[in-house]
Amino acid sequence: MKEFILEVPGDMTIYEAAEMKEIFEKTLSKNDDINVNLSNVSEIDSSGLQLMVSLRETALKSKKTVAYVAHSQAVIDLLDLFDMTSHFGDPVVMKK
Amino acid sequence: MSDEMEAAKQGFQIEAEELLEDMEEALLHLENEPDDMDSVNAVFRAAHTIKGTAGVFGFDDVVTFTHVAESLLDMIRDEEIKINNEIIAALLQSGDHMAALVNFVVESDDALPADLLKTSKELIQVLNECMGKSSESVASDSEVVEVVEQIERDNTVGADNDNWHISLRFGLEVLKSGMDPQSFIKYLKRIGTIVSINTLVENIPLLEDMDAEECYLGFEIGLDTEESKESIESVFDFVREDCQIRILPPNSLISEYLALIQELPEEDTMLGEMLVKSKVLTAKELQGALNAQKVISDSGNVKPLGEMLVDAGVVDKNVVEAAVEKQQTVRRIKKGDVKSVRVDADKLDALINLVGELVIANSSSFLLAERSENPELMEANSITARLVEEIRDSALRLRMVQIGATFTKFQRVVRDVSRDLGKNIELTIIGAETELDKTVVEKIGDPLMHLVRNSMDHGIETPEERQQKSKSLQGNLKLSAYHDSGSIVIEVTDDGKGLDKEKLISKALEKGLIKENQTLTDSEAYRLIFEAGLSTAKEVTNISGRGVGMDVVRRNIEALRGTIDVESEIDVGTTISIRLPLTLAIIDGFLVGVEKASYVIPLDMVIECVELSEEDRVASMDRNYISLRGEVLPFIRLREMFAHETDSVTRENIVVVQYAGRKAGIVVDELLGELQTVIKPLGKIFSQLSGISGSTILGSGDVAVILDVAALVNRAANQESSAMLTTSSEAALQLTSN
Repeated sequence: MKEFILEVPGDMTIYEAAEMKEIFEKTLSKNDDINVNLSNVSEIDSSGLQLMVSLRETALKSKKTVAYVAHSQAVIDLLDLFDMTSHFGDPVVMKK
Repeated sequence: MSDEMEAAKQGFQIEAEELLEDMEEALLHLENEPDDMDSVNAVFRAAHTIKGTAGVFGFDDVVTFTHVAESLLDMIRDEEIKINNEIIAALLQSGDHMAALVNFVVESDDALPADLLKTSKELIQVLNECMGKSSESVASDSEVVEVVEQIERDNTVGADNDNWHISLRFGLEVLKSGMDPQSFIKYLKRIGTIVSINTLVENIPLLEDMDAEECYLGFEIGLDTEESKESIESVFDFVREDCQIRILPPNSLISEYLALIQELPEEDTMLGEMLVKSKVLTAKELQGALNAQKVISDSGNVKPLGEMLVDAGVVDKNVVEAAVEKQQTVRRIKKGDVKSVRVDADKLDALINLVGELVIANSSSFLLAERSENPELMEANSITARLVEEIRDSALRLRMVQIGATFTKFQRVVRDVSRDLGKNIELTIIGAETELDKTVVEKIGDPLMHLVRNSMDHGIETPEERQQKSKSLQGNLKLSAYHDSGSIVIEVTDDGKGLDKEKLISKALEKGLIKENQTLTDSEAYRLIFEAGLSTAKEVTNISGRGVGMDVVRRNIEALRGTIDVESEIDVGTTISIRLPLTLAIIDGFLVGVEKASYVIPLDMVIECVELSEEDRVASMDRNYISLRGEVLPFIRLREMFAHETDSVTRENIVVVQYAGRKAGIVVDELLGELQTVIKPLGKIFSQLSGISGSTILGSGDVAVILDVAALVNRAANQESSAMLTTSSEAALQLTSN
C-alpha cells in the first residue's frame, strides 16, 4: 500500500491529546505505512510524546510502520531532554 | 513464654548457626585471599544480621559482643585496617563465641555464666587491640548498644558515581492536574547537570487502550549537583502524593542501589538496561559489552551479558547479581514454584515410619492375594506394591542430605589443628554433593572428626620431616565421598608417613591382641589400629588425648551397619575408608529359609544363587569351601550357625554374597525371593550378637532375622583361613586377596 503522510496540524499538548489520539487511531486503521510530519508542532509536552510512543508501538504490533519526519524544534528539544531520540530511531535533522 | 516467642527464638538460633557457618567459611577464604571484598562483606553481613536480630529479642549480651566484632569488620571494609591472620584468628574465635552466646540466651533466661562473660571480655579486648584501641578506651556496654544504627558508606561502588540518583514514577493523574513531567526535568537541569536520563516508556499502552490524558512515564536520572537532598526533594513537592520518588545521594551503599533495582516495577526490562538506569554503568559501557557479546555469540560461544560486564570490570558483581536475581524472581513468580521448604525433622521421621508400616501392610495383602489366586486382586496388588515402592523411595530421598556441609566444617578443624601442631596441612574435599541419610550424616560427624584429627596428628609429618623425605612441605588431607553399590564410601586420605605394619604387630603381640605365630594380611594388620589400647604414637598430644579412641570410632561405624577399612603405604600415606549403608530404615532384602525360619539378606550384597550340588555337599561335609567356577568360595551354613535341630535336607542352595570386595557363600534350604523390608532394630540385649543386624516382620506376621553380611563374610573367611593355615598358607592368601 502507498505511503501515507500525516501532517500533525499543530501543537501536541494535553489540550490536544484526546483529539490527536483519535486522529492517530483513524489514520492507523486505514493505512499500513505512515509518515508523520511534525514540522507544525510548535509545542509538545509529555502527553504528546506518549502518543508518539503509543502510535509507534501499536503500529509495530500490527506489522505496520510509522516514521516521524521533519521534527520541529520543540519536538527535537523534548526528545533531547528525555534522551529519547534513539528510541524512535528516525533521522532527525538538526536545525541550527 | 509464649510458644510463638519460643519458635521465633529457635528460628533465630538456626539462622545464627547458618550465618556463622557462612562467616567461618568466608574467614577461611580470606586467609588465602585477604583482598577479597566479597568475603569481608559476607562476614560483616553475618555479624550485622546477628546483631540486628539479637537486638529485636533484647539479647543485649549478644548485641554488645557482636557490635565490637562488627565495628572491626566495618573498619576493614572501609580499608582503615588491613586484614591479617591475627584478625582472622580473633574473628574466628569471636564467631565461636557468638554461637555459644546465642545458644545460651536462646535456651536460658538466666544471666550469662561467668565463663562466657570472661570470654566476652577477653575477646572484646583482643578485637579492640586489632582496631588499635587500648582496652581502657573501650566503650561501656550501654554506650555500645546505642551506636547500633550508624551511617554506612561503601567504597566499592563504581568510582565515577559522584551523582545523585533519582527514580521517578509519575502518577496517572499528573497531566490532568496541569503538571508536565518535562517541567520537572527542566527544573532539575537548572539546579545541576543531568548526567544521564532514561525515560521509561514501557508502561505506555497501545492506542486503543490509552487514555491520552493520563501519564504513563517514569524516569531514572543521574544528577550532578551541589544542592542538598531537601532542595532536590522540594522540586517534586507538587507531585509528591501522586508519584513514587526515590532519591539516592552520591556514593550510596551498593545495597541501596540493589534495593532500588529490586523495587523497580518493570519486570521485563533487560538486565543491561536496568544497570544503566541505576547509573552504575553508562550506556556506552553497556553498548560496548553488547557489541562484544554479539561477536562472541557469532563465534558460537555465548556468555551472559552480566558475566561479561563483570569480566570487563565494568560493574561490581553484586550489582549484576541483584539484577539477575530480580530477573529470576520475576520468572520464578511466574512459574509459581518454591525452591525449598523447611520441614521439622520429626515430621519427616514420622512419615518414614508410616511408609515403613505401609510396606509391611502391603506385603501382607500381597501374600493374601497370592493365596486367593484371584488374578485381578493380584494385579491390583502389584500396582499398589509398585506405588508403595515409589513412595518409599521418594520418602527416603526426602531425608537424603548432601555430605558437603559436614565436610566443610572440617576446614576449620584442619586449620586450627594444623596450627596447634605446627604443621602445614591443606584439606581437599571431593564428592561434597554425595547424598546420604540425614541420620547417618548426624552420626558420622564424631567418628570422622576423630579420624581427621588422628591423620593430622599421627599421619602427616611436620614440615621439617617432610623436607627430609623430599615431600612437598604442605601436607594434604583429603575427604571424599562416593556411592558404591548401595553403600556410601567416605574416605579420609592423608599423604603422611603411613602405618608401620611391623610396629603394629609387635604392639598387638605385646598387648596380647594376637597370638605369636598368627599370620596377618596387610589389611588385618592395619585394622589393629582400631583395637582398644593400641597406640603407636610416641607421646600423647592434646589432639589425640581428647576423648574417643579409634576403637570407639570403629564401634560407632559398626553401629551404623558400616565397616571400616585401612590401606596404607609407608611414607606415601594412609587411606581409611568407611562404608555405610545409604539408609537405616528400609532395605531391599532377599528372603531365604532354613526349616521353618526365615532370614533376610540385604539384596545389594547378593551376587548370585546356585544350587549346592550333590558332590559339593558330600565334599563340604568336612571343609567349608567349594569351588565356584574354579574360584575358592568359603561358606557358612546357616543351619549350623543358628543351630537348627534337624540335621540335613535333600536340597540345599548357596547364596553368594559380596562385601567390600570379598565373596562368601551362605548355605540355606530355600530361596524365597525378594522383598522390601523395614528394619526393626534389635533390643539392647541382642546388641552383642554378631551376624545379625536387625529383624523384620513379614507379611505373614512372622519375624525374620536380617543377616549382617559383613560379619558373616568375615567369619567365613576367617574360619576358613585359620583352618587352612595348618595345611597351606598359600590358599589362605588366595582367599582373602580376591
